[in-house]
Amino acid sequence: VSVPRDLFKDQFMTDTPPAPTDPFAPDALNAAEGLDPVDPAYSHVVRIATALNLIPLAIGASVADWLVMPRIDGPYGLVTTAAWLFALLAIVMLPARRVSRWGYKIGEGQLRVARGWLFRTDTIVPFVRVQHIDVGQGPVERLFGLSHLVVHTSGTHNSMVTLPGLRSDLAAAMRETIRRHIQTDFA
Amino acid sequence: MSEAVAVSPDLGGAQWQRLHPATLALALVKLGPRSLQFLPAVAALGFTGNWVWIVPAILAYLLIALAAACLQWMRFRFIVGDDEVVIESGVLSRQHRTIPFDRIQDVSIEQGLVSRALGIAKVGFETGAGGKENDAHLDAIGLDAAQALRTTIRAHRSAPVAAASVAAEAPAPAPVAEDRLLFAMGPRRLLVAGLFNFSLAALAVVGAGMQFFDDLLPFDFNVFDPRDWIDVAADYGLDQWVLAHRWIAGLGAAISLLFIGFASGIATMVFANWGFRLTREPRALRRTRGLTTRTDVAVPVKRVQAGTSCASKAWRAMARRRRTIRSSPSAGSARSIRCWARSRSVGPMTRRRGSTATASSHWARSSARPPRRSAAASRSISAMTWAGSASSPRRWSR
Repeated sequence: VSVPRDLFKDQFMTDTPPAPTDPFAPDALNAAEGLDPVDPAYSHVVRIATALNLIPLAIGASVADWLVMPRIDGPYGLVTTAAWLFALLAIVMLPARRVSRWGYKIGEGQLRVARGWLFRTDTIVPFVRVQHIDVGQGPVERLFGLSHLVVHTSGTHNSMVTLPGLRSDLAAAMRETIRRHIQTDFA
Repeated sequence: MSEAVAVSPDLGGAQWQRLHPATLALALVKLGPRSLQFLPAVAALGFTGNWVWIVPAILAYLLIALAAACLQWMRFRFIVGDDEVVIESGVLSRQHRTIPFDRIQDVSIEQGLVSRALGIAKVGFETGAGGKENDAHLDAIGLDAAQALRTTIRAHRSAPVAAASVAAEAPAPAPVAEDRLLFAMGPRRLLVAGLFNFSLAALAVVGAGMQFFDDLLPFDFNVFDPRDWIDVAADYGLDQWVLAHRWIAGLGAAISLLFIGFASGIATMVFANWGFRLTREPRALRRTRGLTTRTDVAVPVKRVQAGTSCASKAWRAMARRRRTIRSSPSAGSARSIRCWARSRSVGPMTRRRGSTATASSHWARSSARPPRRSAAASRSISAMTWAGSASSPRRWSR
């Protein structure tokens, strides 16, 4: 007779976050730090944006290869292959991994946004320091029903904190949460 | 599509508003400087010999720019709720910006020449967020709507604080409701201030322009070349006389230089500061000025970061000084109020602030007429005392 652990999952969650079994699992980092992942559909947005950036670059590299290499008797095709391989890798494999490194948590009076793998940045914005809030939606994000949330704090340096990959209704709800906290503080 | 984004429950039944339709006219006016970008294309058409296409190209450019402005206008809407301003903008990339009234430090109203003719104004919300693209503004709404908007936001800001002060102390001081004029600059004062604004920048611009377009000008005359002037004199048969009395020519040149310098100084001063009025409102200092472009800036007293008063030797001889009141939440969007005042009127200005300021902002009065030697020292002291009275938690980023 086994006790269904799922019944107590919520209580376990409140005490300590469960230790990640596989440190290389995509969501291990967020789970270990108690962060919520962004919407998986955001990887499609990242993919399309990367494709729009890299495919022209790869075409440019191919053309340069075609123009230059025959004249200097170089290895024609090497640059082209490398460029297209890198573009393929960045478009097919990397978006999902990059997206899984984004994490956020709406806490008591603060928003926490963490991102990055090699260079990991963990930002905490107290709600009382927020000046105004943007919810933006680009054309690609609209295809997948996503929005991004931007909170502006005062000052010139790092005054914008962006959290992408939120479902539009969730972004609006988060905006209202932050909004209410601003209201209660008499600055 | 944007309905999910636009959901905002507590807007108090307010209606979405659009900008004034005259925004399109303003967009056309703004096109003037922007069409410089288009100049290379026109030049390229000209150099390649396709003269026929120049006029259609310009027309197409105008049409596209107008269509873009029209689309932007159609996709821009804003709503003034009970305690927040919400602005939605963007043609393809939609942006939904929420600015709580609590966070709006001051509301500026600016009117250019065209705006004044159309009776519209540009409203800027200073929130203290850094960067140019981060502060929100409404390009054009009716002037009375702009003033009503500012009154609404100011009323909201003062309401909770006033309630708190009443609760704190039983004999609450009667709130000062009316706006009082602290300082105004009449034409005569502008004239005197302009004399101290001596500038040969205009001459430098003219000289640089003549150098640049030397080949294009229809006449061959260099203002800075004495020989050209002698040629002019020769036309009147005066060249021998001028050569004989060179000192008179030199004197004339010096006098005309002085005249140009003073005239341009006065002109810039008059254009920028015509109708300068500094008024004390219950919680803010408000400055109105400008001949063609009228700006109306209100700085809440609590947000004042520093006040400096400086006077050069020549100014001190006239017992006159320039004051700068600065609230700079960020270096990029520093707001400052400057005025040129007599020393005697500086005293009353500070006294009035001192009498109405709250405990958190006690104004120290700078000495009305410092001795010559210690002028710099007293200036820095008064700057320090003013800076110390700033109660805002923002970084002092200057």
